[in-house]
Amino acid sequence: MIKRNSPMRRRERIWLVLPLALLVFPFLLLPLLLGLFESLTNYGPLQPHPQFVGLANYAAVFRTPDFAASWRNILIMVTVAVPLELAIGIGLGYLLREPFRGRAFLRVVFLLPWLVSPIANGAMWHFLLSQQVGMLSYFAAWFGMDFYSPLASVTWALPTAIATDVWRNAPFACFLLFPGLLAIPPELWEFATLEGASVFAQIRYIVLPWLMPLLLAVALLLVGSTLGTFDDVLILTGGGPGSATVTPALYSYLQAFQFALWPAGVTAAWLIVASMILIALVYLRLTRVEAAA
Amino acid sequence: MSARFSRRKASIYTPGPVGFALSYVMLALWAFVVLFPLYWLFVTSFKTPIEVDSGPFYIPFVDFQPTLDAWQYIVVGDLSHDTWRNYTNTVVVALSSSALAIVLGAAAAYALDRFTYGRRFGTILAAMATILFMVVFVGVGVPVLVTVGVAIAIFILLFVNLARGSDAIAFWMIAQRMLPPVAIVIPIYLMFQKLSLLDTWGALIVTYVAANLPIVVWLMRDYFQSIPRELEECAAIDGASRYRTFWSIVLPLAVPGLVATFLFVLVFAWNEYLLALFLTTANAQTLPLTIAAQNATRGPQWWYMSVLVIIMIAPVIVLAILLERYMAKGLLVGAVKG
Repeated sequence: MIKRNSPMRRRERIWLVLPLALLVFPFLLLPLLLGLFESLTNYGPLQPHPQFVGLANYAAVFRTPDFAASWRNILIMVTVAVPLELAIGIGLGYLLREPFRGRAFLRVVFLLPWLVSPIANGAMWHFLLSQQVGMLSYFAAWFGMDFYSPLASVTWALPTAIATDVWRNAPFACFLLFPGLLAIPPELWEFATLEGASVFAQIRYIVLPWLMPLLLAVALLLVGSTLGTFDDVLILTGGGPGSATVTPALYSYLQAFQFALWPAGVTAAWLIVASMILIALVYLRLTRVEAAA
Repeated sequence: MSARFSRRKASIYTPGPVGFALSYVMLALWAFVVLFPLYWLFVTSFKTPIEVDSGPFYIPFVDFQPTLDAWQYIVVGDLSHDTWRNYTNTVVVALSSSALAIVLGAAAAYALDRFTYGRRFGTILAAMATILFMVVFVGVGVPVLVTVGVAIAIFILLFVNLARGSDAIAFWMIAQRMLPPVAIVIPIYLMFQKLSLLDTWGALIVTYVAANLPIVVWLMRDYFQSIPRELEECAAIDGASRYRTFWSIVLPLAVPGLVATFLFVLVFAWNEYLLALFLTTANAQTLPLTIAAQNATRGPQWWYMSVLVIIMIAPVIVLAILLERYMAKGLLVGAVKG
């Protein structure tokens, strides 16, 4: 009887979407395309007549050792940090699923780290982990141990950067996953209780299957934000020591603005974009499989 | 037996006493992990430089005599002019860009969810983007043959994707939200330079709205999907106009999603660093720049840094507390239902 599209006229639909197109095309899509084009030329702030150079920039970028290091670092970061953040998010959500006094308060407390800006997060951990006045050096002193800031260690700088990333992003995962956990039908919990299922069995057979689509979406957001890791590492370690904590975004920034190698910076940035597009495609494929299952 | 089968909500989860104690211990542990660094910043902001340097002092009035020196310097003293200017900028830019992104994004999301845009719409979009590409490429001296080749490839890619409807929209929204600002910052800088809008609120607001729109559309489209269409159809049968239906049925149901999405984009705009670094020089600088500058120019003056971080996150915390009750339903609920 009622046609779905009938009440809203074509003109209304266009008006609703027009602002989106007007803002996203010039200020997001166009800069992106310009970046792609610049990565194929020797364009730069000091280069008035850029020339087309094909894939030379890509070849040059791939040859620099720091670039390889940055991708190695970010792969480690993503594969360690994102599952950890999801696990903490699910764990906290699981602990909070039963209403109790102060739950709303705890929920806000657990959200706090995400409200700290990446810049402030980097600065704060730089302070907490500093050699002389850092918190950890006091803890070490209690136990009579010598303390060397992990930020100055080639081995420990990256795990530390990952830990600060988890500190800030796990609350975000919890914030998004918690309502999903609450939406699990009570019958399922009841069933698990009757069966005497352990915590791990509950998570494996109830929580994970139920949350899967939401989990995928949150994982996507976390992978995205981790891939773009930039400001916190910039302040925390500056990418050092050596290239131990360089990320692709930081690499791109340093190439373009510290070493004035503009084409290298743009090219590196575009490789991040390409990887994001790839991840978005994989995500859509997974959600379609999930929907079909 | 009866307790076991009771329908009361509390009983169905109830773990044994050990599990109960364990879950409290774990919650307390995580609360400590979350709160201690913030507490440490808080007490550091009341310390003198000597107290910061000479060892751990945990509790004000017990371990050390708190002083307002650092607060005085940042909030009313030498640095107060810069602090308050950047504070005002952050508040204005973050609030207005988030509000705009929510209104425009939610409108588009509603339209995109409720009405399927046909193949023709996709074709027009794909053609527009392709032409954009070609103009840019030829304009900067790429050989025409290469341009045409790239343009055809892009058109096919866009067309295949866009014509597939809602999935494709989701794809573009997701892909764009995850862009690192590094990838777009220079072209945007040049654009605003041409428009003579550098170092103004307008430049930052427009950029943040554009950067946040895709995620708003993605989240809100999902949220609108979870609102049953039957409700709207019922209202239509009862003779309610399109706008009446939207204002009195869809909008109230969408409030939790709107609030959570608002917090999401506000936190981004409040904390964004790189774009602000390029688009502003003095008058429109925001708080992340203040913190970065404090870190870079004056070195480890942790007492000042602590004050800055605290005044920066305080308003967002207050907002999160105020909005908490509206967010119980959560985002991406459509995703839960598959």
